[in-house]
Amino acid sequence: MFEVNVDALISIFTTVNFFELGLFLAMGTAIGISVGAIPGLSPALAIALALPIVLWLPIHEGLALLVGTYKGGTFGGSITAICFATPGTSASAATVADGYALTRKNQGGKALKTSLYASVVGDSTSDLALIFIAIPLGALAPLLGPPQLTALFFLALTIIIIFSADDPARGIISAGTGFLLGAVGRDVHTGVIRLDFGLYGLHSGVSLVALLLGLFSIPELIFQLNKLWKQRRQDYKEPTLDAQEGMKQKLTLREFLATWRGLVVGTTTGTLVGALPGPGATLAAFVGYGLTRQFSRKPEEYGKGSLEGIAAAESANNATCGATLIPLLTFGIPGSLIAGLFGAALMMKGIPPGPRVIVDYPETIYLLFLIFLLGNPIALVLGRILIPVFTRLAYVPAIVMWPIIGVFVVTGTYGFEIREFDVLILLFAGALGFAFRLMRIPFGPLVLAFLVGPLFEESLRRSLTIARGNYFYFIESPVSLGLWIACAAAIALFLYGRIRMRRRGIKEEQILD
Amino acid sequence: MSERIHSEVIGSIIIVVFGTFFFWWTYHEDLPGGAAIVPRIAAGAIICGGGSILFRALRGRTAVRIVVSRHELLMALVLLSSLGVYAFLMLWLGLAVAIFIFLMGWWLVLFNRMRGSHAPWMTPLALAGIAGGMSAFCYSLFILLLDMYLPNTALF
Repeated sequence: MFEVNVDALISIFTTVNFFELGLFLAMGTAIGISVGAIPGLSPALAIALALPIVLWLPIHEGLALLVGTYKGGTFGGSITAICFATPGTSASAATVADGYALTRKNQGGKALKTSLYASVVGDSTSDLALIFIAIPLGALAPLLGPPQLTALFFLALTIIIIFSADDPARGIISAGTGFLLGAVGRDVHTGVIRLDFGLYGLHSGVSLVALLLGLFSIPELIFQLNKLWKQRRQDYKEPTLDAQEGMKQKLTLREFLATWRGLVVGTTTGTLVGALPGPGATLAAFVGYGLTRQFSRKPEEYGKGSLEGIAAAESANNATCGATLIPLLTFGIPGSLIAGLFGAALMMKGIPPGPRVIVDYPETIYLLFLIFLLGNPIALVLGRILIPVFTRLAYVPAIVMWPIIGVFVVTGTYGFEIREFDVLILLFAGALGFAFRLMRIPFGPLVLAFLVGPLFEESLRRSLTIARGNYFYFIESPVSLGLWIACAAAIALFLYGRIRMRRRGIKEEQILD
Repeated sequence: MSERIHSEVIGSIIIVVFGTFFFWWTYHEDLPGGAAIVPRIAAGAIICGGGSILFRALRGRTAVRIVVSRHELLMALVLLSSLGVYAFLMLWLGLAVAIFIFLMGWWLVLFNRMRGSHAPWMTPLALAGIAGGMSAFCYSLFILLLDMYLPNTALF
């Protein structure tokens, strides 16, 4: 544990104008929610655009703007995920299945409020973890060498395959495809280009934004436009996007409290995953969702409109907000793109992030912690105000709305990295997503394998290089041995569940269909 | 063999063929040993998964209902093509013009398909107004505010 520097705290409370701080936080949150709600525009893009402004703002106002944008953007992605099955950010992709299922059941309002409250719960807990628990834990990060990381990533993949897919065969296909797409481009060790099929655009790999937007949005666009096409004059009833009344649905305290499993598992997962360099909010959301489903009393409701599922995914992705700064503030390692941008902002102000930053610049770091904590009530209030504004989009007739979403998907994909080839990847991913939807293959393992694949490969090959091909190296340390045992336990738990279901007389077809 | 199992068999065969193609491709590319590990594991996983579904389908134990509609396949082709055309127009004609053409194209087709069952305000002129508004909004957002780069285009 670090000791609290009381002088630094007194200095903050006597010199900082908290009203101005709140205004910049609110401004950042509003910008973040708006940007996050537009498919293809990530909070990272908004933060990157805000960096030049931070340079001429006083440090506390600049940090407030960045933190607000980050928190708002992480939540904002769930609005379009729930209303239109189009994740505004990749981190909200795990929310699509349950959120959109509720919108279709005219309960979109409940889904949005659960998402907001779960985001604030996850975010607040993560911020407290950053301050009181995670920084000392972050000191353990160097203990995770390549063999331990290999086991850790394998565990994450095992969990997502066996628990996110009703049919493990389909989960394996999905994960294999994700691995394959993640391997496209330059090999990290040898530098050779692989799986490029002679296309120059694939040399830098498959764009995550194009892949996610293609997988999640385009199949939905196809099915919705096809539905509209089939609804001819005689059976055309309601020219709105499913859920006018549903958006007004209130969430009761009891309903929200009933999602406690999702909140606990999601927040814990998000904080732990967020503290690791690399994985990020998207991975946290999918792992949190998959794990909560395992512990849930109603796993059959997942993917069909489970509030618990939404709470798990949203609390997990927002719980990475505070935790993602742990590697940055303890070792100077930006564990994610966002952490890198925060590191850049601190360096622009002459504060080098690293092991000594809390000791050398306690006022700035304590102020950053305070801003993170203050950002949560502001996100809650602004979220409540802005949800109805954004859900007004749901009142727009469907024939007007879906083509507009098509425009945002293509333009956002191109605009993210200004690469024409990304549009082709988007269309390919759309076709792949459509085929997966027809074959009832889940997207979760694909996304997770795509994210974890390169990290897994790097640690696997580094371990093999260190051990000179000796595979026993992977189980030599107690930490990695424990992680491999956890993998085996997860598989055994899954098989046990299946055997128990069969003993009860539930046929495979009933489980899966 | 029922139609349901038939779809499952065809789908799984396609998956196995894809997996096998990628597995073969890792040899065709002549990758150094280490660089080929993960692609081969991935292709192997796809083959195993597809093979498992195929095996079950052939034994008549199909797991999920796969319904392939010709309308959906056609809509997928039309939508993917129209998105491709939109991207092409965006890069060659300009963002605002491309958005206007894309939106009006889709709206007029759907509008005519569902003629007579729209809200009273929804006329082709109103749709053109919304398309113009959306073009202006997207142009302001992406080009003016976010400074998104587009190559020199014929229009704007």
